[in-house]
Formats: sequence, structure tokens, C-alpha cells
Amino acid sequence: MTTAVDVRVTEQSGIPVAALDGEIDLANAADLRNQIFAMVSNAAPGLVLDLSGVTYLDSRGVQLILELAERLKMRHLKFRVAMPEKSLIRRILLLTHVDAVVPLDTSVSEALAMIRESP
Amino acid sequence: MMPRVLIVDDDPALLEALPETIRLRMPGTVADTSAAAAAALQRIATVDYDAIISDIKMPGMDGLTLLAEVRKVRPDTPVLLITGHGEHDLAIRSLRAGAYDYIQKPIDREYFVASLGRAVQVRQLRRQISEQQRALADHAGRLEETVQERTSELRRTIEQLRALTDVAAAIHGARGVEQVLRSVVDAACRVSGAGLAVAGFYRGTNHADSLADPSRWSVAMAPDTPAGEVTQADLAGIFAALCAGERSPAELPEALFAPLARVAANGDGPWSSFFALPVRSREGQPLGAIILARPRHVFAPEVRVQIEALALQVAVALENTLLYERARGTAETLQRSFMPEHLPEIPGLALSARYLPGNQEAVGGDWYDVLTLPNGQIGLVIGDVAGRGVWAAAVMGQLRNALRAYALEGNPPALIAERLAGLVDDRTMATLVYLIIDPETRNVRYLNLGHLPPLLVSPAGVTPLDAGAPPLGVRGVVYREETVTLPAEATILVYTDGLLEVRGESIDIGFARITGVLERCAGAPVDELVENVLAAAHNGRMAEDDTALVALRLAPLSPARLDIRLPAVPSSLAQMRQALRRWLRAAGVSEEDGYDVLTAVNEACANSIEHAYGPTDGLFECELALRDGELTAVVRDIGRWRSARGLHRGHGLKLMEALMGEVEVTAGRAGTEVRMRKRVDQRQGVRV
Repeated sequence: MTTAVDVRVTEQSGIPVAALDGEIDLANAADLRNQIFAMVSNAAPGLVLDLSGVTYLDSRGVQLILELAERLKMRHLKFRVAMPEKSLIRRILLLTHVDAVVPLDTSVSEALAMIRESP
Repeated sequence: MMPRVLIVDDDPALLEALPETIRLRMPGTVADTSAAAAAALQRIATVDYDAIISDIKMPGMDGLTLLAEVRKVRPDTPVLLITGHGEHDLAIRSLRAGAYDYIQKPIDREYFVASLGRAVQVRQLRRQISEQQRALADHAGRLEETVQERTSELRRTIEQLRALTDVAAAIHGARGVEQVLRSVVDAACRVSGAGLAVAGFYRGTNHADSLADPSRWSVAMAPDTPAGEVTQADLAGIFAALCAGERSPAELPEALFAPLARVAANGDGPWSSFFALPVRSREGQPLGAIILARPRHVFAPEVRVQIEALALQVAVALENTLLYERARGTAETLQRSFMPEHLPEIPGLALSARYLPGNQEAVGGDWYDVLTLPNGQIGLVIGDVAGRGVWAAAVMGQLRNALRAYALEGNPPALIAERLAGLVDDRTMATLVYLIIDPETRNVRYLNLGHLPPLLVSPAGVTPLDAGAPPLGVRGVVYREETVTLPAEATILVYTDGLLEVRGESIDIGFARITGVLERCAGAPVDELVENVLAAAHNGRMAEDDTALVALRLAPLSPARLDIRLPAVPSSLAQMRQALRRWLRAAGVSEEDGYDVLTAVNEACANSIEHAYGPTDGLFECELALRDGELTAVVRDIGRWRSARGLHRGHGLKLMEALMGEVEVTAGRAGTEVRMRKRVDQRQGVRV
């Protein structure tokens, strides 16, 4: 049994967007990481991780984002994480200084714009 | 045979002349003579003459008297009387007295020879006829004797067959070892006239040690309770010797039966005559033994034959019993393995469940299940596969496992029903109810597939949730889930039909009976409620059918305190958070502070889970208390011993410190304890 979480991948203007819904914890973080790694191709300019639908994220979720960032950096891909300004999980990401490694945006469109604009 | 005649006359001349005439005219006929009637009678007594010729007038006994005497001793012998010339009266008297003919003097030789010849012929014919008649009578007598003999033989055989058939019916109709053995000893006494019968049923191998092990033998005796001391070990010793097969039962020493000789039954005994034999399976494996005892007379050979026939019947019955025991054992084991060993402990959720096997021979396909779903909601299942025995238990297991898998993926009831419907084949008919209960909102989503309706029990009354679909196995059904909101203090009761059905009663009576009890105990703790319902439903008797029931109630959480205890497995985290969220909300903790507490406690719990050995070894415990705006959270390892550990990995400790402010880690004897404290904002109105 795993904690309930949905992964949906869409492509917006050639950039893959992985949207997660539900809760991320010890029970499903490893499985999620493998799923997301598998879906990002080297041909893409980068990845947007949309956490707007995530209601809970623990330190394993934090670790997942950090690992993802490291992996994408090695492949020279851009990586941004989006969630609303008032999201409760933003506080967790700030407390663990994820924002120092991965830029946090308030929406997917903002994240997509940042990827497209950057050189 | 040569004809033989006797001539009686006091006249010596005639005694000479007549034999001469006979010798000449009737060759081959022997003629004896006698000069006096008295002497003639003596000869007649010893010789069966073909004819007697006698003068009427003789000194001493006359001819008529002689005729009367001859008629007495030789009624079939013709007597010819010789009368004087013209003595017609005398001639007629002699004929009336039974003479064959009379010969007048002077004797006409032609007439004499002709008359005597006829007399001898008649006599010989009569003798022939009577001999034939005798032979016929003899034959008829023998025939009747034979028929009677055969008839009684047949009757005996029929009686034996009937006795054996009765015995077979009794033995094969018996259920379980005890009943089979009892019918065997009763039958053995009836068939053999024994005063004491002992039968043993053996569960074990051919090995001598095992055979002599008293605990492997089930024993029955007739009469039921004989006086005197014979122990299970004594009997096992005798049975073992019988089954060992080293010697035929007839060759076993008399002394072997000594322990039984002392036993007295109905004032009978001591026993000196024993007949015993082992009972074996077709493969020759020992199944049991029969011992019969009588006071004196040995058992007749035909009785032995009958008991041997009985032993064959017993073998079949005992083999069937063994097979049945194994089958029932398998089905029971299978079925038990599908029942949850422990109900999940969910804070604020009171659960009570029972499974009672019915008195039927084979277990049914009833099951229940309580699941914690990935989102922290509760899945409640009750179901019943039609049929009994291993097959029903196996189908039940498939359905139960499939339902579990689909439910734990978080699927809605209608989708689960659709998938289960695709799993069952045409031979299967199963009913079930699946409910998803959200402890936070008290919302219940459910789907009933032909099962008895779940009952909402509250002090205000008992409401059946009637909506439902046909049972699994019915094709082409579109499933639609129902919803209901669980009233405060209400209990959901799900059950199988064993709870309602008492033989010979309509299900409505069963409903009425439990409804009354449920209304009375609606407020009682769920365990008490379940016990009371069971007591009322079965009235202290064993139900016909298996009975499964589960009662579930959402209890309000105390804002002052929350205790959670869960298995140290990753999936417990979602459950823990579910309970903690409910509590934080009930305690009026602000959303932001609540989230901090939730995350910090989750980190401590995740740490405990990562250090547990194996998937189900340990447990962890969370204790939360709230007093005057100060929240204390303690998370500790419990259950199996775990080595003390630090909290160095990843971001866990960092997060806990950042979120709570005060974090203290102690390595205790049973493992690690994390103690955290935080001042929280509490909504107005919630004061603890």
C-alpha cells in the first residue's frame, strides 16, 4: 500500500510539466522519484514540477526534489517547482532551504516563462 | 420279489395238497403252512405274506378270529377263507369281516389258483403303491426339510444383511469420530450379542510408538459407562497390538485383554471370551480397532464373519471421517487465514468484529475486512460466498484479496464492484457490502451487492441502508455508489445472514429480534453492543450458519489528548496524519501551527519506521497533549527492541527543530523517544 498520489505529465510549449496531486511521504517518495526520472527526456529544455495539488510533503519529499534537481543539472536541464504563494508546503521547502537549489515559482505559467526566457 | 403265502388248516391232507397245487400252478410262489391259527399269527408277525389262506373251522382259534387278528396287524394282507360246502352265511360273514375271497370245499383248484393269484397280485401292487407312496412321502418330507432349512438359512442371511445394512446406515449416517465410534460399538453389541464392545479410532502413522500413543486414539465403549478401571493407555496398548499386524488377532495372547477382563458392564463380566480385530484402510493403514467381550461362550464363526463385515463398513466410515476432518480443517484454516488478525487501531474509531462458525459440517464463505485506505479513510467490507467448504473458502479468499488490492489503490466502490464482477465466473454467487468511511467528514460512500443491508444504529433508532445492486455473479449491472452521513454517536453494523437466521423462522423475526437489542444498546461500547446482539440472535445456541459481524463507530476525539499506536510501516504515516488532523481541528489549533505539528510528528514517526526491523516487527506510538496553548508531542518506538539511534539522517531533525522549537531525543531501553513542544494558536471556543 502506498500513500495516494497522482502523477500527470503534460507538455506545454515543448516543456514537460509533471503535476503531483495528493500527499508525498516515506511511503511513496522513492516510487515517485523513479517515475519522474523516467519521464524526462534529454531532448527537453527542462522540467516544471507542479506541486499545486500536493497537500502534504515531508522530508522525503524534500529529498526527492533535491535529488531531481541534482540529476537534471547533470543533464544540463532546467528545473523549476511551482506552487501557490500561500501553499503550506512552500513553508517546508523554505525551512529546508530547497529554494537555494531550485527556484520556486507561484504558478506553472510563471515557471514555463522563466525556462523559456533563460538562455 | 418272490410271492410268499401262508396256508393255515388243521387238516393235514389239505396242508399237503394246497402247497403242491401252488408249486405246480404258481411257480415261484413260496407256500408256508401252519396247522393252528395261534402258530400262524406268530409267523405273520415276522413275515409279511402276500396272502393268507385259512380254514374257517379250526379247533382253538377259528378262521374268522384269525382274520380279525390279521386285519389288525397286517391290514393290507389279503386273507382267503375256506368254507364248507353250502355255508353261504359263513362265507358272507367272512367277506364282511374283511376277507379277500372265500373258497368253498371241495376246493375247485382252478378257482383257488385264480383267486390266490389275484390276491397276491393285488397285494404286490398295493405294496408297490405304498412303497412308492412312502418314497414319495419320504421325498416330500425331505424336500420340505430342505426348503425349511434353506428358508431359515435365507432368513438368517437376510437378517444378518439387514442388521449389517442398519449398522452401515447408522455408521455412515454418523457425523464426526465420536458418533461413528458410538454407532460402531452399539451395532457390534447388537450383531454379536457381546456384553462389552470397545472401538478405537486412530490418527497417526503405522509406527509402533505412534500406535501405542494413547493421545492418538479416540475411544467409545458400549455400554456407555462400564464400571471398573481401564485406562486410555491400556486400550491403546491392546489396539496397538491389534494394528501392528505381526500376529493375526486369533494368535494374540489371552493376557493382552487382561485390562478389559476386569471391566464390568450392566452387572455382567468378568469377560473370558474376546474377539478383536483391527480396522484398516484400503491401503492397509491402521484406522482403528474393535474389541468384543462375552462372559463365557466363544463367539460363533458366523458372528465373527459378521463382525469382519462390520469392520469393513467401519473402515469406510472412519476413512470418510478422516477425509472430512481434513477437508473441514483445510477449509477452516483457509477461511481463518482470510480474517484480519487484528483490527486496525484508529484514533477516534471504535471497532468490534466477531466471526462465529455455524454448526454445519463445512465452513461457509463469510468474511469481513477493515482497511485503512491510502487517504486515511476506512474501508469496511463484509461478504458471503454462496456454498460451503474448501471451494467457498477459496473463492472468498480470491474476492477478499482482489477487493483489498482494488480498495488500497483508492478506487471508488462502483469501480471495485465492476472489477470484482469481472473476476467471478458463472458458478459463483457472492454478496458483499463495501463502505468507505471518512472519519473527518463522517461521510460514508457505499455499495451493497445483494447483501443484507448495513444498519445505522443510534439511540434514535435503527435504520437499514436499503439501497443496493444485485449480487456478484449477476451480469450486466451498472454500479452506482450511495452516500450517507453518519450521524453523531451512530454505529454502522454489517453482518452476514447467520445473525438473522434461525431454522424455521422468517428473516423478519431475526431482524425484529436484533433491532430491539440494538436500540437498547445503541449507546454502549461497540464490544458490548456486538456481544449483546450475538447473544440475542442465537439465544445461546450455535447458529446454523456462520456469522460474521462488524460494528464501527466514530467517537469524538478529546481535544486534550490523542494517542496513536500503529505498526512501524510506511503506510501508517497517512493514517497517523489523518487522525492527527482530526484532532488538531477538534482542538481548534490554527491551520498553520497544525501543519507544523503534523510535519514534525510525521518526521519523528518516519524515523521510527525507518529503524524498525522488517515490515511488521515493531510499533510506534504518538502521544499528543494540549494544555493552555502548549502542545506536547511524544513519538516513541515500542514493541520489539530497537537499538538506540541518533536522528542524523536527512532533513528530518532540522525540520522538527524549525517547526516545533523544542526537540529532545532520548535513547531508552526499548528504543528511541522524541519529545517536542510548541506553543500553538488556538481558535476561540475550544478550551481544554
